[in-house]
Amino acid sequence: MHILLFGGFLGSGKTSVILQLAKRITASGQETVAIIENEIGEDGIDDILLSAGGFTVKPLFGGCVCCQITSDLVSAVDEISRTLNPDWLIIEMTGLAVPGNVAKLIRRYDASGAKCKTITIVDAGRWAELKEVLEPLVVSQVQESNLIIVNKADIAGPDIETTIADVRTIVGQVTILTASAAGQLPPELFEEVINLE
Amino acid sequence: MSDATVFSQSRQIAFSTPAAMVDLERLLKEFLLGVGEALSYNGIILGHIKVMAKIPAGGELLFLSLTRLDQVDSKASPAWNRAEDAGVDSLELTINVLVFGYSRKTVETVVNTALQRALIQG
Repeated sequence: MHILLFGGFLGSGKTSVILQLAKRITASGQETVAIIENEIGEDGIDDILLSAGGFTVKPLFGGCVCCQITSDLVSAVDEISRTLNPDWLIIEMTGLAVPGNVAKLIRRYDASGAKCKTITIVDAGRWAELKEVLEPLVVSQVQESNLIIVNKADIAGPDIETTIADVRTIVGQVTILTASAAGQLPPELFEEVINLE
Repeated sequence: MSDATVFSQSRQIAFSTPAAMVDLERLLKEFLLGVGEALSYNGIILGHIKVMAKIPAGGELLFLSLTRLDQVDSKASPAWNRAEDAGVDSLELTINVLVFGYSRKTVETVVNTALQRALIQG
């Protein structure tokens, strides 16, 4: 089992990317996917959207796995590893989680020894405003990520170059890809996401 | 800025006369924009506003999401048929708002006002 941890601010497009990725991985029938969906609200929406796509989804409600229900995440990963043992476990964190912190948690407590990759989605259409008002949160979300996807390139306009340059100053040499998950994502993006080398 | 406000609500909406699917979708987008306009900052939402609409009779689902006022994102289950003529007489709504800068009371008032304008009075 390999673990893909998806983070990024609220509404950045995590669920849209995951839906396409899971369909891509399972299309050939050779590999399996399970998804852990963490939502803060009491009533889930994204877990139903992912379930409607035909995927096995374990919802975690009532708090953020980053800081409030960390033990629930560790238990869920353990349970899925023991019962389903999928080829890929995709974890969608809440839009308030700090992916680097969650990755540390999993690497520390996951007994399966699964390789874990952290992918953070950046909303190109809102980066400047979010950074202006919520800088500590959005900066911490991209720090310590293994891959950055600057999403919503279709609506970002020329400002996307400024966003990429700004994110580059935070993440250093980490790969940054641009995407528009409202449409069909390119095969190269999927290859980069599942590349664990 | 302080912590995000989390607001979740499930509502059952009954229509006095059945609404066509295309009209229903338009009303739901009006509702979402009504909430968004009251909670926006420079045209964007410092968080997200999500709505799931379920038609109880057939289980059809429509997912709507708003992060900026100039774009409502939507995804529908395969059974959601925009050409459906029969009309819909009731709807189950799940509303999730996570936003910075507004109190829970304000969010609740905004949601209820937008619901009243777009889906209940209409």
